[in-house]
Amino acid sequence: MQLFFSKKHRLMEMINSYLQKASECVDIFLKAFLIYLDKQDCQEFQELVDRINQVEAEADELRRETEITLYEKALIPESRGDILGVLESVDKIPNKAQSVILQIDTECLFIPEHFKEDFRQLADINSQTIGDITQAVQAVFNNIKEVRKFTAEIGIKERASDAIERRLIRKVFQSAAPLGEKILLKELVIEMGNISDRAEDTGDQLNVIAAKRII
Amino acid sequence: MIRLVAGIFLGWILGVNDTAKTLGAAVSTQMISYRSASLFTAGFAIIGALVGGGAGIRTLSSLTTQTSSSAFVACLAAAITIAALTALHLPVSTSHAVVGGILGIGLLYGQMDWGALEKVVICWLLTPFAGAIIGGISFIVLGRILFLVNPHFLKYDQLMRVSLCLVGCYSAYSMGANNVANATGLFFKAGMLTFYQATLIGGISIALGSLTFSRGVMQTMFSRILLMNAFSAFILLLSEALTLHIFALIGVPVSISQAAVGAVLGIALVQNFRLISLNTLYQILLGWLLTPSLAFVISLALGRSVLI
Repeated sequence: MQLFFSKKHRLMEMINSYLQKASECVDIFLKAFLIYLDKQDCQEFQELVDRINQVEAEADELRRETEITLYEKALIPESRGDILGVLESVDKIPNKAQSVILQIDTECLFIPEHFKEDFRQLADINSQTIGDITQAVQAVFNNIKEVRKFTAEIGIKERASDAIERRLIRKVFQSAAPLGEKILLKELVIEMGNISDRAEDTGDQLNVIAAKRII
Repeated sequence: MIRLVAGIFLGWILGVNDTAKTLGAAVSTQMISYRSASLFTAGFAIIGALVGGGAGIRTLSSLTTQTSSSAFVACLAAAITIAALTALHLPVSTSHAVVGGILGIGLLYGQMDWGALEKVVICWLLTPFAGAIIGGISFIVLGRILFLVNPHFLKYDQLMRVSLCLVGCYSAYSMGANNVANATGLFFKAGMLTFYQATLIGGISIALGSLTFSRGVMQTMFSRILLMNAFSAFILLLSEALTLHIFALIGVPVSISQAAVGAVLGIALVQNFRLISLNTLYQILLGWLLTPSLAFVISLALGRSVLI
């Protein structure tokens, strides 16, 4: 027996495609950043900068199409508002990932060797949150009771990211680097940490949606 | 037969005011258009009046003797009461107004069946409590079932939209069954209409109200309905409809608004929300006291000048 009308099945496919694009964006961010840490600005890094711009634009296009489909009298206003809010919120994550890579590219940041391991950990923990967000969003649709399990994971990673950020910023300002370099590195740390912050905001929104549905 | 206009007018007011409380939620969820909602409400109200309106007509007929003139006076008094209280933005019930009008006629003629009136008043007092109990129990039972079934988000959405449509139709049926007596019950007692004519004309007058001027009221109700989630709105409508249907079977026209207030309180109590405010109690008390009292006074005054 077909579970969905065709319009709703198409809607689910569009949402899943969008989540895949958003994940791909964050994966490219992590790959590009690790390459930059190893090789600084190089051909491979530049290709990944172009790729992240392309994927982020594709994600935006998918999101807009999904939002239009939402408004084609598909859902009750409450459900429509919830899904729209989630899409807009999730979109901030790949946006931030792209923004960090562009910041590194345009500012030609120099990351000293003794900070690289902390930066690797920071990038890794922040990029993991998109996986939890994807699972949490899918849980909203398929099994709403599981949402909190995934959003709790995001909270753990966000707190871990905060700890790395504080440690790294302290190290930066205790180093002998010039003030300008310190400030640029601090900004990079904060911007990267914002990825998990935005993921946590999305997680909070998903928790509210779940709470409304669980009677 | 011109006097029948007062009863048809009352039925029309019912249709205008109460359509939004039936399929308004289905319209707000974009399940059906306003036009379709009006047509469905009109259709199911007529069916409700024809199938389930008999007991209410018999009860109102038994309260006192009626002539065509006294039936006209009672209905006119009720219509004036409704218009005045609506203009003052005070709670008003057509059922309470009609009985207040009948009471005025009954005292004027010195022939009132106090036993039947007692039954009516007890049912009025029980209406919000019945709404609360049915609302609370429905919320718990159906909520538990939904929790265990745990449907897909989009399937839940579709389920809510279809449910709101179905319960809206049931609500329209209950509205017709419960309220047809208000429109034409007195004229049946006066011998102007047969039983079948009373249910049919009463049902059609309610349907006309639904088809003509209910859009404005429905749009006002939209914002209130949208403040509730879909499941709570469904429980509210189901409780309203069940309460009206039960009292239609008992044979007493009751207030749909009081049934709704009771249902909201029942849902709030289950969720531990503090919604029992002084304002809510004031609204219920006012509904019980003001409408029938005002209709009684107007009916008595009109009756003295017209009938005696």
